[in-house]
Amino acid sequence: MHRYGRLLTPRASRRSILKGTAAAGGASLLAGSGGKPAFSRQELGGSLTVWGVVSFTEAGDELLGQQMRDWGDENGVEVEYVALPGSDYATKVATAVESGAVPDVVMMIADLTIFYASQGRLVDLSDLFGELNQLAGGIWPSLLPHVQADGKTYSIPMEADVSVMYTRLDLVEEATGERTPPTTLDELEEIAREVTDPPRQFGIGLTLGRAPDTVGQIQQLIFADGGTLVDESGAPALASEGAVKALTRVKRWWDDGLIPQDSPSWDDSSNNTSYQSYQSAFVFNPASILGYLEQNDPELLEDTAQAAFPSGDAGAFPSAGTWSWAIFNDSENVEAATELIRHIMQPDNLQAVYEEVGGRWYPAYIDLQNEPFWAERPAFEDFPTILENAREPWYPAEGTPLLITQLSAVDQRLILADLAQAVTVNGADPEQAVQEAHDAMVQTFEEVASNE
Amino acid sequence: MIQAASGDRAQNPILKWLRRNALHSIVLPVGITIFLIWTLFPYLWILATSLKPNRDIFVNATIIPERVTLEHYRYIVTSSDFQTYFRNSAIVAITTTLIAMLIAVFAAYALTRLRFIGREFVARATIVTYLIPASLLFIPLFQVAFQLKLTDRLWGLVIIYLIFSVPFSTWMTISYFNTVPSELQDAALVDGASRVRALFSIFLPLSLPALAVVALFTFTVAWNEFLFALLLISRDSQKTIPVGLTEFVRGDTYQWGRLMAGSLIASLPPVIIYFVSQRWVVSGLAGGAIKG
Repeated sequence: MHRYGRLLTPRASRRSILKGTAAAGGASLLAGSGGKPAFSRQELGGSLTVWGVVSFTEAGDELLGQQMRDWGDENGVEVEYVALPGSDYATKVATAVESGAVPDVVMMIADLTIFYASQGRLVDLSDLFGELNQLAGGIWPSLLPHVQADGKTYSIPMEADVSVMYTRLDLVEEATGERTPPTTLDELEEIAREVTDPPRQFGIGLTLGRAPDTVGQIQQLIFADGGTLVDESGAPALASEGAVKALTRVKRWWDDGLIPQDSPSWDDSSNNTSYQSYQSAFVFNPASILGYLEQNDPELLEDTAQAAFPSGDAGAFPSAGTWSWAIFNDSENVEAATELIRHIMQPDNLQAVYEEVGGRWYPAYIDLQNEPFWAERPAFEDFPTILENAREPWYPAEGTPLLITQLSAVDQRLILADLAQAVTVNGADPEQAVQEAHDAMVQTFEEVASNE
Repeated sequence: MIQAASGDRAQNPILKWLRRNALHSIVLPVGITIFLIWTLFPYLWILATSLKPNRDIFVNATIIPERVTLEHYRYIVTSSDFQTYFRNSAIVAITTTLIAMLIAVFAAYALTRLRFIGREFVARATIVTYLIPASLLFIPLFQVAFQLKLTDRLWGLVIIYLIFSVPFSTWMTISYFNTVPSELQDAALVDGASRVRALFSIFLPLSLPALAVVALFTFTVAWNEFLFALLLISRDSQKTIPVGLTEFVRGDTYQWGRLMAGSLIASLPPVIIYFVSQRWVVSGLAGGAIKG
């Protein structure tokens, strides 16, 4: 029973289907859904190697791999799924690409899709995307800028990576009398002042280390206070009133002791640790903390909410990303690789994997939010709103491959993390620090452009 | 009066005892205790973390666990692929060590006792290759390994590790062989021994401390190496411990209990080997350092 409609995952591509159909002279065909073509029973053959990042549970990896192997068994394709550690994944992919030893299907994280698409290394999956986008309400539009370039789709989003604000409801209740997460940054600050009790307890677990999490959180604060990273033409526009306002806010939080004192040394896992050790009342993180709480700390889970990032003076503009499936041009079995993606992207298959992963991967398909697994858990009730309001880093410009590569370089150089440390640890004037970060962005943009 | 007072002080038995024994009785024990605490504290922390339930790891940051569990060890041993990783690491490290020693001994003997054109150049080139950072080599080496179908094979790792361990091992062995008096070999040759016999009967027994250092160094490098193991190996069945441990890091979620339990077990073989060969290692390091 396939509740969201199903594109048959065929034993052959449409081209070979036509061949097979002609050869068989009207051999029995399976009827496809939604007016899709029917497929022959011809085997695809060969082998496929698939690389993905480890999910948040072993059961999730196992089920995903099993789905691929089952499909391979049915279609005469030997499929090997390799789940690799996320921390060194980009290095491993880069080495494989440079060496010409690329797997057939690769899970893309962050903005790897655009990076490799801009080099002409990825297969255009626009047709497959067009078909899959008709299932289960389609794929969240806010995920598409991460997988599309020049009007083509180069990878298929398989999950939505949503960042939320973890909230200690017991502490919020102490401060306000209500168990409701703050919706504005001003309210957040007010509650944080009430609940901060150093050295054991701090209000705002903002990451200030030289880490990607810091970049993401500072970016959201800048957006919330009306700043942007680039202007409509795609040129650096960090030096703005909004950015200064956001950094002034961060500086005030730090100077007033609302942020844990060890935050400048945090990495991407430290805000998890801070929340799980009851150190911070609020942290900004993807949904991984929830999984830990469900398994290990039901008491803290009871007092926890996953809320949307609060609004600043300009509004709330959360960030969302996606992990997606792509095929490199070097693959010797593009046909089978495409069909494999079609199979694992069926909404029912995906939902089964999501449930094994424990909620850390939010559905890429819009209508899957109505599944009981999501709809009946209050922890996820803000996720659809977050995905609707999500803003990509290159807003308000169009996400061209060059611009996305330039912004990736800015991320890799941790310019926003350095900016946060400048105004907190070094006590720099926010206006001056923002200007210096802007200058660093300009220089980075020029260097990337000159290398293109 | 003043002279009398200072005379008293000079006669004070406590002061005299202190003066004579201060170094052995106070400074050394205190210094060693501080050093031991400094050195062992991380291991104690690892041990404590590996014995705590997950919640206590975050909530009770104490060196002595309030509640003790062996769950992380149970999981590592029975529910994960850790045993496979351990076996793979052992195969790779032991094989690399044996081959590196074999090559190093013959190379060092040739470079120290035989006269041939380019001997100096080869000796210097050996150490120069060791100085090239692995981070510069990993893409070309991966390409070579891929072309030779050495990826996802333990043999591939052994060959790559030999590239880095043979130069150091050879250089270390050269340093030690240079300290063996040539008269010993000459006497053996006069008595009719072959060069191979001289190598095995004279050089090797005299060089055991150096060989212990070489073996330990090579084993430790091969046992702990991460970058090439990560790049060359993808299949679970071929992973070594350093790469296998990363499976306990899922996104930004660190499974600290399992990580610490795995790290503690993984650290045992090098530690045991160090303990067993401690005496040779110390004299071998000193020999290589001073006599080279």
